[in-house]
Amino acid sequence: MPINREYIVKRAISLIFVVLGVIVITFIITRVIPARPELLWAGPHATIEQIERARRELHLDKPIHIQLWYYFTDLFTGNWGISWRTRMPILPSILGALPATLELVVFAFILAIAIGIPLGISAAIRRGSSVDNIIRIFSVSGASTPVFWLALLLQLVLCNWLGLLPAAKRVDEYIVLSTGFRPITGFYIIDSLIQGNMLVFIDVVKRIFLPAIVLSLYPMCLSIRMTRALTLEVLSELHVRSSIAWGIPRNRVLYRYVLKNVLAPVIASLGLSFGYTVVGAFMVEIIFVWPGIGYYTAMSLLSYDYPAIIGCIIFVAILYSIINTIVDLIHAIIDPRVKL
Amino acid sequence: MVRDIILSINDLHIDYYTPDGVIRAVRGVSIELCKGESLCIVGESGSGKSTIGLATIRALPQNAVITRGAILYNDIDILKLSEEEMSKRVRGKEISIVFQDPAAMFNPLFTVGEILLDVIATHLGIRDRRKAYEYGINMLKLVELPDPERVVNSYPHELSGGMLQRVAIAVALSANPKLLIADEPTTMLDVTIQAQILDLLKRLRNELSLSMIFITHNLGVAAEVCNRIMVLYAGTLFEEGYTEDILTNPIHPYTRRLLECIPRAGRRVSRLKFIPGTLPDLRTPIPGCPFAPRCEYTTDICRKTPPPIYEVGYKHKVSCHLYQKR
Ligand SMILES: Nc1ncnc2c1ncn2[C@@H]1O[C@H](COP(=O)(O)OP(=O)(O)OP(=O)(O)O)[C@@H](O)[C@H]1O
Ligand SMILES: [Mg+2]
Repeated sequence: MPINREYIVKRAISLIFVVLGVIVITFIITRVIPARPELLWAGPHATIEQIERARRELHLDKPIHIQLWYYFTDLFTGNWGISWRTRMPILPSILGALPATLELVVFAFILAIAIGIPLGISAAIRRGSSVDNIIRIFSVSGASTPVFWLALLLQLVLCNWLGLLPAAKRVDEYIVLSTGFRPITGFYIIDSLIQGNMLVFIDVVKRIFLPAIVLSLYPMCLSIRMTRALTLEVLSELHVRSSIAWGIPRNRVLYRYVLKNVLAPVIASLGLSFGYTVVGAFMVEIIFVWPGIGYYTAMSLLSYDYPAIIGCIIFVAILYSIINTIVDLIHAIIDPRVKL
Repeated sequence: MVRDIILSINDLHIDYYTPDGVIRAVRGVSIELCKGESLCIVGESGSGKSTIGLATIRALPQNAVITRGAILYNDIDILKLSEEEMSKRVRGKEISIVFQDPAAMFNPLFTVGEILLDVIATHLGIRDRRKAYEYGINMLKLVELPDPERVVNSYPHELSGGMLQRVAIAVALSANPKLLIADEPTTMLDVTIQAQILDLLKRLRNELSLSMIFITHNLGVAAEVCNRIMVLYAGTLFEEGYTEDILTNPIHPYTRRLLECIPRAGRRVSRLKFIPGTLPDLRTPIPGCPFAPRCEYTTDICRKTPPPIYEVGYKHKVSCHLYQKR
């Protein structure tokens, strides 16, 4: 599959428009909600004059299109602004938080695929059996379980009552200090492996496990249902029958041929569920005190930190576009009929 | 003249279980096929032709149940073999099949060569990729495909229906089966290609001394390819015999109507003929002859009792009450 340059250009252009649209919409929403972020900026016990000055400093006294103009001109010079909450530059803060989220989301998606696809296939080939029914009940109830509820429940049971897993944070600071672990890429699993630091590695895996399970539940259930439905559909197609009739063993037909037919659409649907997963990540990161973008965004939202909110949303939009581009590419690699 | 019987199907009954009831698709069909013979199963859509073909290679859909009967291939009891033994010993190696829809026979995500080489590697145990590839190319040459090196690396959507049908024949024959079931292999092709595929099948049958079951709803095609014809209706046998006998001396009213339906050059007809009416509902019991509602000679007995099978000539059987009354 030769990657078409036109396709990449088209995707890049559409990304620019998506980001512009997202900025404008978020800008309008933040400006019309009845909130007074200048109070936060001015600090507690501020006088009326101080609050007025804060309003001017934040340009909140200007009309919205002027504010938007200021924002755009800054953005194109690489200045994403200062967080009104932490008073730190936003871009480095987001970039610093990104690996934590990516590690969590990637881990969750790997879990979702590694568990969801085999379960979906076993349900399909045992259609109507009790195994099939159990898997189907699990996938329906799992997809409708609220993320925050499950997160709190698992935390309560596994961490507080049984004490099996740590309840929060990416890594234990004490272990980090005592073993001299240094983040390099920001992906702690990779970093600890590079440095051969098994103590940190084990701690990191123990801590990522629970939030990743919670986060993976929705995409996992989605992939179970998609895989089951698609497998049943593909199994009824003539090429399965003819391959078997020509003497290729049934299991090989299933795992070598049918699996590939199922994979592309399942991965595509997971890509589409990415938006939902990011929303889930906001909750999961708050509950598990996970220092990622979700945590940062949630904190910014709670304190009307407009520039940080917009910065985060731009990032999520970019991430969403990139993931869907990757999904498209995977689809094109798997299916020779797809031309990008 | 006694010849070896390669396939014998005895009193086969097949039901399909559907949400709307049980479809009794095959109702007691018996077939005897000798080595090197080609038998044509003719009948209109829904008469159970494909079901018989699929049962022979045990590739029926999940909801099909063989309720009665036996299928013997040489000395192998097909219905008693395990799934693994079927794949290992029978499918592709002894009995093989090609279907109606050439494009749907191939997985769209794989090149046709991948399937071909997989079948070759599975059956002939050729592990060396180079050798399997050469063997595959030779198979494609055997079915008269131009430019086999290109075809082998093509995806199904890159090949025409006629080419795909040739590839399917190549795959089906690659492990030297003795019996080929061809389930309407030309129905979806245009007329010139149809003739080419028929010629190819005839040539291969002679060169490889294949036995063949050829399924079609077109008696004209049947007459061209096969030395025996079996007319099937609603899952039951209506008439069976050597092609010349059926063509020159058709006994069953349904066979005669089928013969009238063959459009022929030189015979001027104002419009194409067809048989009015449709097949009976296969979910309900059929007390008498299934053709009774459409037959112009129907009498009371036709509606009440199923007709027995009469031997009307050398290996010529018919199942019709009319014959008795003659
Ligand atoms: N998978 C299935 N489930 C339920 N019923 C089926 C199934 N396959 C076939 N049937 C029914 O069985 C009967 C015989 O079907 P079959 O495919 O053998 O007919 P056919 O003679 O091959 O027809 P055609 O010329 O259309 O291929 C039909 O009434 C059909 O509706
Ligand atoms: Mg058919």
